[in-house]
Amino acid sequence: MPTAGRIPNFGARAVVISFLNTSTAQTLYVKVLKHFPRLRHFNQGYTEILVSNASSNNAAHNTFDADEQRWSQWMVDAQNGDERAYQRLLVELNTAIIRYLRRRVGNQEFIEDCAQDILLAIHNARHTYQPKRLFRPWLFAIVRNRSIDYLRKIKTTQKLAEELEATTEESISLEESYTRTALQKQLMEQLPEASRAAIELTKIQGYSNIEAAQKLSISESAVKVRVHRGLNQLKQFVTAGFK
Amino acid sequence: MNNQTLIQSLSNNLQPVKPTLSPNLIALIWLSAAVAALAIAANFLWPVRGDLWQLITHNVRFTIELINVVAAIVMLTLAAFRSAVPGENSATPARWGGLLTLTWLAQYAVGIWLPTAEDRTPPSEFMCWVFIISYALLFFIPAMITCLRLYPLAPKRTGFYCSLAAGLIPTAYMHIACAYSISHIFSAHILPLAVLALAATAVFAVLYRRKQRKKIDR
Repeated sequence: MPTAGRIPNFGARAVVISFLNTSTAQTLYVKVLKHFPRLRHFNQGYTEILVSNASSNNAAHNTFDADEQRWSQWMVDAQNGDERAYQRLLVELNTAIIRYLRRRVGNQEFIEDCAQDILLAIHNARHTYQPKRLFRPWLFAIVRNRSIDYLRKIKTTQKLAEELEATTEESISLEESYTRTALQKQLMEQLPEASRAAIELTKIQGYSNIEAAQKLSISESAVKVRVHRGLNQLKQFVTAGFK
Repeated sequence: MNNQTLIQSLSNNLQPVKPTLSPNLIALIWLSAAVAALAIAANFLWPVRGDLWQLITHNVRFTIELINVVAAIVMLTLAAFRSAVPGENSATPARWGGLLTLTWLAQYAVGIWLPTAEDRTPPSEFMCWVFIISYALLFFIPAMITCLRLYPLAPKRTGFYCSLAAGLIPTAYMHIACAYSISHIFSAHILPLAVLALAATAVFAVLYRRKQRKKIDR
């Protein structure tokens, strides 16, 4: 019997077979069989494929339902503070999200980062999941929305990087310094407020870490962490932009 | 930070959270509170017009306009709270709310040539502005706080539905309390509604962004 429930396609019968492989033809055939059961003997192979299709569809449907029930239960447990259930849920969702994104946008480097954004959104929105409702529509709404946001953000960064790339030596003048300031400002605006303030004080205005810590009323090590994180993020923005 | 580390840090010291009420129920509670507040207004601040019952029973267009705006409020309220919960269907009530608001406005536009009710001398525009803006804010602020506590995926849209629903409630009340003069309705009822809807949407979006930034910083 052919694998994956498809009729083998050979030679001149290609057009007919491609029609027979469509779900419309198969549904039609099942309806016809109901009225004329003897047809089953004339086209044994096709009937077998339909049966195998139906069972594989059922199996897929069962997995789908099982995922739904399991995720829903884990989320309910997580709402009650169950760390283990939440961890399991996030691990499975992480895999499902990455798979979904790969199917949609291809095997891009930013997929892991995008999945992180989505996981954070799921975490922040976990109180809005109502146990009586289905889990998947709730999840899908978040995944779809956050991934679109992420792609938009990347697009903006790419645009900035392209502008930076297009800058030539000849343009080094007063006008150029203005452009660079504008670009710098736009890149900085994408950083979280805490990291931005720390970088502005230490790297742009030239304060020491201790002075910046005093100005921000935080510890010196906190300044270092914020600067480090901010610089890493800036690096990512620019790298993503150039790619 | 890779995804595994993030998952680990998110699930460590996980605090229990209370699942939110159904957005339909929140909408019902909010609308009931708004109606109660309007009932107080009707008794103490600005009573309904004396010939209201007669207008409702004898003037079909007046009644249709009233039903239309009430239906628009209900739909927009549903859209506002549903859009603040991921996965809830907010598109259908939003579409109906928008359509009903437009037909309600269209009826006033028709009223320029064929007035629904007899023109009477309206009160000062300032009074109407103050009433509509203050009541709309009274309804908008709790709605905004509630929606911000939920998880609006499209904050501008949620803010717009919230502000429009909140603004339409006092505007609809004016329909049964204030004089029926088309020019007055446009300049003292609909204009403050539009101003409020735009300003409140912007405020909502700004507050949402600030809240998100705070979460990321944390």
